[in-house]
Amino acid sequence: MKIYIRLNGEPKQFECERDETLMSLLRRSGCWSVKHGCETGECGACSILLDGKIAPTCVMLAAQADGHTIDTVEGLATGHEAHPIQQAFIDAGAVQCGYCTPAMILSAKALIEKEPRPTESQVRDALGAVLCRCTGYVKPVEAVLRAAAILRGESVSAADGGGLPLESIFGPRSTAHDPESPEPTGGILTQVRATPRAAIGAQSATEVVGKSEPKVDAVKLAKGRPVFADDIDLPGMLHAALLTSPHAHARITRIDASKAKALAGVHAVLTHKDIARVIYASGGQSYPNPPPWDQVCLDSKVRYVGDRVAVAAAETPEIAREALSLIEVDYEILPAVFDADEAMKGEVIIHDEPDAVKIMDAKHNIAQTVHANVGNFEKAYAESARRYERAYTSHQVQQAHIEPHVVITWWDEDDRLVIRTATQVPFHVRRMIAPLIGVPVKRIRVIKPRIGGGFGAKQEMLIEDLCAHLTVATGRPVRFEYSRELEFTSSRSRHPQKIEYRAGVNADGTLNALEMKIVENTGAYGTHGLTVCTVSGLRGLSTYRCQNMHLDAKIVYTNRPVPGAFRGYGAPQAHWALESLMDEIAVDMGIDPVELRLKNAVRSGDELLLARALGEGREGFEQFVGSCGLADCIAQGAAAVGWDRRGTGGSQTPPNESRPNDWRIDPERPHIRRGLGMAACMHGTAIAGLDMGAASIKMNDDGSFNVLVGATDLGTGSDTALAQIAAESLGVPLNDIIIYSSDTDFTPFDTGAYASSTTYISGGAVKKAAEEVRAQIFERAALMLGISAPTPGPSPVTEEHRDRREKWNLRDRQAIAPDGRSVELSAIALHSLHSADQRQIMATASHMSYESPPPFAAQYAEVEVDTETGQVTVKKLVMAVDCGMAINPQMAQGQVEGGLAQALGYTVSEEMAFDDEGRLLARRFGDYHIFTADEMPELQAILVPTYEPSGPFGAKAVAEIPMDGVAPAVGNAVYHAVGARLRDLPLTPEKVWRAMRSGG
Amino acid sequence: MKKHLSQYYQPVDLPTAQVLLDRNPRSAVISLGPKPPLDPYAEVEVVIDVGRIDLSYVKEEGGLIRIGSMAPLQTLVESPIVRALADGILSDAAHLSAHLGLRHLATLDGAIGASEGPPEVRAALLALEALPVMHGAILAEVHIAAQPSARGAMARLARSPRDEAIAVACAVVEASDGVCRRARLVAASPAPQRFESAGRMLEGQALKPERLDAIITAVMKEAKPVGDYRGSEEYRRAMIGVLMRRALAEAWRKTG
Ligand code: FES
Ligand code: FES
Repeated sequence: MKIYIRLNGEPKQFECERDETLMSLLRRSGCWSVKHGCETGECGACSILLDGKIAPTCVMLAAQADGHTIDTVEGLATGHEAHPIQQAFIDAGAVQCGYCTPAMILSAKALIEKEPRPTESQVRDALGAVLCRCTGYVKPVEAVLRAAAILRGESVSAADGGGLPLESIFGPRSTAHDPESPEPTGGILTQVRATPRAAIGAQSATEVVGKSEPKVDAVKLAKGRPVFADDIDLPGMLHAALLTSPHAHARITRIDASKAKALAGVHAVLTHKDIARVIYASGGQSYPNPPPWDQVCLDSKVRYVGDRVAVAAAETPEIAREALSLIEVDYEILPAVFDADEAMKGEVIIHDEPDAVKIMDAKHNIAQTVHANVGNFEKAYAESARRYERAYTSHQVQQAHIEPHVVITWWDEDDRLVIRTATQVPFHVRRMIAPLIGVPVKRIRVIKPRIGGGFGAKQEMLIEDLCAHLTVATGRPVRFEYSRELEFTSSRSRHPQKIEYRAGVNADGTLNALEMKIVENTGAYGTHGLTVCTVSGLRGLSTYRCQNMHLDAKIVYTNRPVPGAFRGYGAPQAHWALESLMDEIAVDMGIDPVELRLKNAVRSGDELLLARALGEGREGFEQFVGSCGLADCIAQGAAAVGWDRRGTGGSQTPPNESRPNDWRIDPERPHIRRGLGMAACMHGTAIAGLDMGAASIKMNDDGSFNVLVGATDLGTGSDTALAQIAAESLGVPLNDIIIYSSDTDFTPFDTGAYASSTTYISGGAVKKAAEEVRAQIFERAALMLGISAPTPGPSPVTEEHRDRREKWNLRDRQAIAPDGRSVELSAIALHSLHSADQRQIMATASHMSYESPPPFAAQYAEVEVDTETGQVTVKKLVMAVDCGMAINPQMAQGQVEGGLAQALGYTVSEEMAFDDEGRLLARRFGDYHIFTADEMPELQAILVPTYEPSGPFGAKAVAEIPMDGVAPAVGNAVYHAVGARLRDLPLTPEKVWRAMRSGG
Repeated sequence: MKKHLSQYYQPVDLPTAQVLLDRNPRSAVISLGPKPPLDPYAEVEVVIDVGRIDLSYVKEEGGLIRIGSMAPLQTLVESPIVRALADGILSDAAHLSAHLGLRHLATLDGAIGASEGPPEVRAALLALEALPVMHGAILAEVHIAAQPSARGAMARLARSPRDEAIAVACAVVEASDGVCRRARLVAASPAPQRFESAGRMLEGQALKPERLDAIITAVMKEAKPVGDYRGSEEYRRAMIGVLMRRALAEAWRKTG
């Protein structure tokens, strides 16, 4: 049918099917800013302005728009211009992965047009129309308020997002609080404060690093340009659909796809009968993948509701789905087991296939185990003055990135297979997929465009193999995108764990013995199970000094959907248990929780005793704590949350009505009790001795540089951080760096975006490559100036050679010789390319590290607990983070804020709940519920700078640690408020209510 | 969404819409609720888009509030007429039901017709004794008596402030001289349920603590909560008691 729409100011006529959604019509008409995140109107990514009002288009028929006006961000500003709202989002650091950004900008526009002077609550109501999984909404709210002010004609201060020049913290500091410290600047609810601390390895002043530069990809994301995996259309492209198992455990006794294949428009239907059986592990991890290897692309057995059964490719998504309904499958239903302890009894065997590799004990469903010992735990425990035994459980949750898994595969003109995919691990995908599809690595090219968030779920070769199989089978381009329901049922999630601690404590509160027993539910397959559990053990036994430790962990198969990598990677589970335990010890011994932690926490120079035993599925390397700002984090976080309200020791008893001044009691709401809780956190930075990144830098005619990295910016801003490192090293402004990530044909190898490694490892590679390029620039400048050049540098560059080069400098786009003369970089580039002794100035460098310097953080939470309903309302979250030197403070803050929002959902509401048959009950955003802009508590992210000598420009990791502390801090705050101790996540109203009724 | 819808109609008046609806048993009026189903037209061949018929109004005439069935939920949020009704419980209910984008698309009809999802709008309508006005099988509008003396309150419980409610309680009370003339009590956990006899226990009385206890006991006894992963049946029943106590006490306080 024909419809007429005024689209972005232009009257337009469109031809559409009666049942086509408006989202589909707009995307195929070139409005790529309209994003797909769900099919039920709940994420808002597809929203447009319909007659000036924000509205999701996935739940509208295109025909409903007939005669209406539609605006998308494509119409906001043309060419290279940015609309003031877009600019405000860019300046405020409100763009992370950018997948939600166009819709947020439109909602902001509608609001400001209606209400030029919006309140924060009006802004939050407007942004509530769009889910964001990255930002925690702090910077988007700031951006809208800023845009409104600009549009009112008011002058606004520069939005640098906070932060301090790197050099402002150089030099020795010794006092606890430096009154000369610059005042924090930046976000409406956030601050970045320099904190005095012992100086480690002071460096020279920086021009680009340490500054809150706008993200290098922010403009294109704010303008909604077609930069994501699904934002292309290829001639002849087919659409894939996946048939999944309705049973938790069953054998496929018969499968017949003949009717499906016969359906007009269907080009291929693949079942286990059509694909060679090749065993693999789907986790995107280094070679060889950690065991077990227990998957095949399509199997004759299904092991969870949502497991793969068959896949079809057809001319439209609807035909592909219809084809699935025509596949006849007979199942022999097998008994299923969902609890890990039950599974270990061995009454049900989930992996009985003979060809699985390195399953530890298939008869008892034990995929792998982990053991480690330090000292003599049993003896020390028996001799301890106080002994504690506690068990804590954590639950299964979903990453819920807004961009679904999506991949497009096709044969290129050289008969090479191109895989354009939303992945965190393009190089692992290329290596892992080759044997599965029978195409050699050299004939595969993996392109990673912009990614709309991953949080670990895209550290997985989840759907690329099936899409590639379909292209191999049909010879056609194939597009395969998960629906939101498939994201919930058939993607990856966080491993549930039961952690039993035994702790022996000396009379003075020092830890004497610590044992951790973990039973981890790895669902139907073991992907990431071993390494997540290893991280849990490492994190659960490393934050505090203890000479006698024991770890015993079992990774257990069940018939649940498969957990995998999820931001934090085992650390949130461990911190939930450890930091709850520390609170329990503090309460029992009458010690302030902060004091107990400071008494026991590791500090600079300490060896992390378990690190050597616990690598990534193999032995690790010895680790020592280098930079450590934990004490400062604790102090600054405490000040920000008002911890001194809590008092010490005695105030850990529940509020007392007879003390009317107790701030924990609200006279207006007698059923409310308030509480404060905290947790100390320690994470890792990359996997020591394993993670590797490489970078190539090439100089252009005008003195700008291409930086090619295999590192995978999944929305975190790593491209920007790496570009800042390059710009700093090469003496140019950030906009002279053209960074590209990543394409296995053009960019050098990188293990990928996980384990908080990119800034540290890939940044190290960029810095090394830049140093090589510097040497070449100096050589060329010397040649042009007719003076002796610094000798060619060895590779890698030695300290001695670096010293000699230091007499030369690169600054303000110039190479400056020791005698003060200088040459413009553009002149150097032209000379080297065109004039004499021609050569391309370029270098490639690799970096790995045997160190994994821990970032530290202190997490604080203020809560209100409804004593009659058990409802926990988190009022404020403060996290003070030592992430070394933040390469880009605004982005680092954004990482913390977004992580806090995710961790908040993990703590109080998000949960993959199942029925008795193993069917997931929450299969859509509305039921799963991630936090929205209009219900967030106040978030405060404080960066506590230290200088990490092993990191580029002193940097450590920041991306994952925000996931670690919220759950225990909130749990401890609930205890402080009402005296009920919760040891099972999430802290839902009913659980809290029952705990209160049972006396805690 | 299902493909191959055979017809798409845009009638300009209700009688025509009704004829179209009657003509094909597999037809449906486009009407979105606050929690759209995954495939709303799975069983449908003919859709009827009533967007060209003026059914989005909110009017007050002669002591009667008339709300067009296709009034978007956001209209209920913003309408001064609805906001003035029993302290705005219907406006608040609409606001809590969905995010702003969906509130622009979801309609009063969609909220009423939804078999699951946020119960607040249905609960508030029951408490306000709203009456449907049908045109054949099509809901044309909803009538609510203006009830200027009615005071209302809603109490709600969820895992997070904007999550779908575990339980909701609404109380609308009319009182004069410290005596209740009418009390309408509704709770949803998750399906809305009116507690008429419990409401009558307050009529002709003041809300004294013992009276409140007795009413809450009656409500909890009569309640038919259904447990799910958000909360067990036992918990939901207890919460209906807690929330109804709060809503009724608050509505009563406002009458004073
Ligand atoms: S709301 Fe339309 S894609 Fe999610
Ligand atoms: S920036 Fe909002 S979803 Fe990523």
